[in-house]
Amino acid sequence: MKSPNAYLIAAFVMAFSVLLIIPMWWVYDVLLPHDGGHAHGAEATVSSTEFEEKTARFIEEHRLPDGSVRAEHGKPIHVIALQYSFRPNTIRLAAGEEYELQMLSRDVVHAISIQMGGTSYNAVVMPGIVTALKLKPTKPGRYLVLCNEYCGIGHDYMYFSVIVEEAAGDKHHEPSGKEPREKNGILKKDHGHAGH
Amino acid sequence: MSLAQEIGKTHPDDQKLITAYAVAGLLSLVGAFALAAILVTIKTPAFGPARGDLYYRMLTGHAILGFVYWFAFIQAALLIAGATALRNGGRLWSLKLGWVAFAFVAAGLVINMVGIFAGADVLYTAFPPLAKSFPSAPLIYLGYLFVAAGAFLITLDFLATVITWVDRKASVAAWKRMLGEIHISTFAAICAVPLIFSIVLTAFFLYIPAFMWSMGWIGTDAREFALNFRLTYHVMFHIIHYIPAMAMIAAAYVLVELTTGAHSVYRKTVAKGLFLMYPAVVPPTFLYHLMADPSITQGVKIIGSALSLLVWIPSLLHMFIVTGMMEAHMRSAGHGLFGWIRHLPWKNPAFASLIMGMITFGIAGGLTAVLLQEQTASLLHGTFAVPAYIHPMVVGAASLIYMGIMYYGVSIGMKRNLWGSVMARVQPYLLSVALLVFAWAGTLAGYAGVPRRTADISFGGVAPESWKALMNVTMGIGGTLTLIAGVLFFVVIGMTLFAGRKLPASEPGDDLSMLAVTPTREFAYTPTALIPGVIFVLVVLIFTAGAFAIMGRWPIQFG
Repeated sequence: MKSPNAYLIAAFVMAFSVLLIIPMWWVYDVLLPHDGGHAHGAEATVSSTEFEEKTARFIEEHRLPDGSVRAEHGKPIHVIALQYSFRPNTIRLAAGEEYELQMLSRDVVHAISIQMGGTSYNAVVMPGIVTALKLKPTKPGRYLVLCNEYCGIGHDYMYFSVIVEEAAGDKHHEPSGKEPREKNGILKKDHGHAGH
Repeated sequence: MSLAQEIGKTHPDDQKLITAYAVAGLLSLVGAFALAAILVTIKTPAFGPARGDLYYRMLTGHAILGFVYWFAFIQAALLIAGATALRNGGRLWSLKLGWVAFAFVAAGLVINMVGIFAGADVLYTAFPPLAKSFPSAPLIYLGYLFVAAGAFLITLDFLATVITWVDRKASVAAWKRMLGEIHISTFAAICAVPLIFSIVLTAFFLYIPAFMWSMGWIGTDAREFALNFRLTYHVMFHIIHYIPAMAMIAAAYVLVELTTGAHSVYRKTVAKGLFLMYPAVVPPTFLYHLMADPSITQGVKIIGSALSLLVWIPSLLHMFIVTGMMEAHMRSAGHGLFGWIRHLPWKNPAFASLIMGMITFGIAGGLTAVLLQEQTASLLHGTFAVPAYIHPMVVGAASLIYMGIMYYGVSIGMKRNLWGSVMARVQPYLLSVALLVFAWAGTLAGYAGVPRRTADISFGGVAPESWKALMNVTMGIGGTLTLIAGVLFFVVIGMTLFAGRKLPASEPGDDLSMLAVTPTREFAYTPTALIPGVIFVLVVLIFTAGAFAIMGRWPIQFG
């Protein structure tokens, strides 16, 4: 290029080409909001008492003898976060089914980090606004879900489990009460509060 | 007259004020590094037990000392230098006001430190309603109010100084002439003024009620307060990030001139115009901190994501101009397309700080790609990928470039040769490499799901085994090397102040002398300078595509 300014123009083209990410969104079909999406249930406000009642009812109706709860397809899963535990603390899902997870904090700001073997899904859980996620597990296994927003001195010990079981008709449940919970003092302790 | 000679003419009274800010900043940085040593010990699984009780207190202190006070002091020093040292011996409008501002920032530091060591384990975010459970949390908010007041006063002093540079205040031509004449870096500081004032106003809006609430003087719905606080906080916190970004680039323009004698082949108005982009594009892009929050709708987040992409543009173009300054200057001495790179003053510690700072800034900037987008943020939000990019940005880039300025500052200001040449030469490379190890392993840890701000990542033994190895590399190797590089810098600066060989005049010492370039031809082309930006854009696009690929293979599909 003969003119020095040609390089400057090239630099502007180079810098603005970061906007190529926008057509990339179009290619991946995420340019426009989807129902569910990553909205996390924006603007669905609810009182903590009301949500706690729903959660208690959800746990009561779905509790198994081992203390875990088995979610039903089509009905929302209610989880309440509080310093320093999640209720319920073990949720069973069936692979291939779609669910809606609704979460609320009873006290301070928390977050969930759903660990999926070398990668994670993260969302904030606040007081006053429901975090709602549509999810569809495809692979059976046990998934650790931890709090990844600092919520106080016991933050490190705040987590729960999601167990994805084989799809209905091909069910092979883990034996009740034989979860690797015995490895895990905190889950064991929280387990006692799960029905509150 | 060279820029170094111009800086040497700074009035001794203004110089004292700059020195006070720089020394206070340096002490804050020493404190941040000392607490980082404890964090490295706790967060390296191979080093010992994870002590949550100690970790959160040290983390609060580390971040407040490093991100708030080191930057507040050193950036105030740079602001004053922009109004005096780069003005050929020009004076600050009010020295007294400068000292009052200093007293406010220093008081904020003391108040915050008392609060932290009295038990406010609130992290530097100090979010309500969590803060309520710590009795000394009000001291965090109060300290922030003091530092905000100090930042306001020193910026006011700077602005008043700028106004004195125009005789006929009503004349637009006079203002244009002044803005055209001043150094690019001083212009950058002027562009930062509206951002600093926005930060200060937001800080008052945020922390006055927060202080009163934490003292129990006002009753408020804790949940509603938490939501409003979180939103306002992120507006302020977002803009705060761009003060070091702008100051670092402004300092880069000074360093490239001091170390190589290069000037831009493009009109100065281009670089100055790019600084004007920051106050325009920065405030509306605050949303990218809230991509995983339930309080904002997806449509708004997507608009926020698109806007976020704009924040890279001015920085990428500055990187091109600064690299181009070196390229055209070096090639005018007859060096070839890439041959000029070899002849740069790699042994000058300030040049090494500049170049390694720019490289680290580019790499760390690329790592932000996934976090800035609503569509991909849930992959990394709250994971260790966040500190893995922010530390290279604020330590490996901004702080390193400020260190380069400090090397000149102690040499020209104190009339001393640098003590410990070898240490000074090694330090910028070591710091940069250390932060790049931290960034590389820490980003992998983030992608693997390791949460940030968690002392014990074992989760009762159910966490993936790979986490330990990744954190051993991130903190054990990257963190430890960073600490060593920090100590080297403190030793060189400290020893130079007290034992550096005296120089006859205010001039750069032997290690800092400007590269001698003898032009043999006119050369005004900058093709090589395009390469870093092209790599950056490709990295950003590849990271984005990579994030979509990972999300597509998730064993649980969301949305």
